[in-house]
Amino acid sequence: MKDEIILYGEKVTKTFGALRAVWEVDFSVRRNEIFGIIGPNGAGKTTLLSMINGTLHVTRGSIHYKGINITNWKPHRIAELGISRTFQIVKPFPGMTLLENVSIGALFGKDKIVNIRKAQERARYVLSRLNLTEKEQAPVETLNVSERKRLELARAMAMDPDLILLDEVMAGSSPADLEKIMELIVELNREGKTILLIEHVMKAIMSISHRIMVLHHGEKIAEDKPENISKNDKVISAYLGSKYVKRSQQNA
Amino acid sequence: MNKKLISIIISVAILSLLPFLVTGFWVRLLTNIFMFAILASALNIISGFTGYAAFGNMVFFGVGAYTVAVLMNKYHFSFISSFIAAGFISILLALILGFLLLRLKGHYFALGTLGAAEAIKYIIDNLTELTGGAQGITIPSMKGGPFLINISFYFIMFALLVIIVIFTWWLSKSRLGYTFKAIRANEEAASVMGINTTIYKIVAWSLAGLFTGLAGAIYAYWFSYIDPPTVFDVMWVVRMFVIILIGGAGTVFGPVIGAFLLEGLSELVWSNFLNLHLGILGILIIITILIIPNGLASLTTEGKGLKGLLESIRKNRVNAL
Repeated sequence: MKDEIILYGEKVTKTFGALRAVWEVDFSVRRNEIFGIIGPNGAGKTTLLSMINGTLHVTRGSIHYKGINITNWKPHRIAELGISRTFQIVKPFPGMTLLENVSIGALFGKDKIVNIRKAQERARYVLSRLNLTEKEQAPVETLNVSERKRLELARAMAMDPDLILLDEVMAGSSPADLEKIMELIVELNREGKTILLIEHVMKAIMSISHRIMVLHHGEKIAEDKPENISKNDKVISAYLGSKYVKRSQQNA
Repeated sequence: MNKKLISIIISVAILSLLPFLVTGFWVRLLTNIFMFAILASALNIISGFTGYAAFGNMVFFGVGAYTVAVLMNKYHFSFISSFIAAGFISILLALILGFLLLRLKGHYFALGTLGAAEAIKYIIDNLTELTGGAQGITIPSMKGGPFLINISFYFIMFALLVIIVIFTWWLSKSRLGYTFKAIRANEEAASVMGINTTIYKIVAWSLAGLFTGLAGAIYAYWFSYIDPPTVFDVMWVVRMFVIILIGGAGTVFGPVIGAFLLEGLSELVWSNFLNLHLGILGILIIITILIIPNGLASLTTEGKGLKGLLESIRKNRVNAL
């Protein structure tokens, strides 16, 4: 059961004109896994995530979730299947309180709770897990960066998804907040959720991911366990330049 | 909340008694204000709550008016049945146009609706056999003396206004309302959270179209003569937008407050300073945007009254610097 593949993509490709944003990437995510995606800026990580949840059109290739071909489905249908995501550039709903923002996740998402009070109950539970209870009546405009990132996570959690796509939820957080978010991700994973994670904070993604995929110029250059990724020549070259690969080989 | 409820009950009571105490001029003026309050509240559903600038919304007004006119004039329907038919046809039109136009966003949607409204105006203009074309069409007027007719239209408009205000109040607290507000705030995020944005936008526009069409239906019976340039005039929508802007977009009472202020003032200015009319309206709009960008209704919802007004002036001055 543990090794069952819940999400996979075949030769997933996205081009913008002549630019190959994502090029023929094969990937597979197992049930109840924390799957990390890393890569330098512009590697195509967010683009790949957006194709999985339907906010970007797939140029070629296919994406399958729980045996269903979800390639180019509308985002709301993918959300109904139990996939939720956060945005790197946060997209709160202004003019509403934090509680209302998170309630919408519960009102729609997978479960489509019709009763507003029940949706709010779930939203409050999620907010308490993210230490945002005190701010539940605050207008979202008043939140700071770290709180906005947590709001993104809260909305995704309120949808009670099976698969969560996290796009740099840790960026802009203080070391203490970072620790808490990492703990929370591990906790969610223990509760049975599959997590696909993009992150620039290397320490964090290396320590919590079960497997990591590395993208560079839109192509997959590695997929392995974290401890092997950090030793991979191609990865070192992508991040630091090829001369560092030679140097590390000499040192070894 | 209780205070609010009491003041609402008192104003409804006053407005129910008023037509028996004032002259016909005032009754007609108030009926006109009610009509604009309905139109603005209807536009508020698609533009205020959902954030889509439906610049062609007068198309429903015109189509509602023409439904009543054609059915009563050519087919001798009663007002009630043609009124109901006008509602259905407005919804049908919103569904068809919405399906086509609500793929567009922002300015493109605004222009698209305007184009569709013009197209429908010309269709009606050219269906001479049915609609009377550019000559217009007359509607059999209501039986009874002027006093009875005045009072009747006053209460018909008033009833529709009460219905739409109650509906908007419900909307502001409902799941549907949250959906609309989420679409306004960020459509992409809304769809990622599982909201079928296309369907909900069509629902929002259909509701707006329904109430606009019903107001148009009453207008036709009230004025007993309509022609395409009058009922499809873009000025209807301009006024609706100004009313929403003054009163407060996305609020329950904003459009009503705005209608009373704008139409009341407009009548006053119109009768006294004919040439200054548009100038004064322009100044009013500029002042509103500068001082109370969220509309008059925001002064009560933000709970600060006059103090809030002063504060927002100060804040906006800081922003301007």
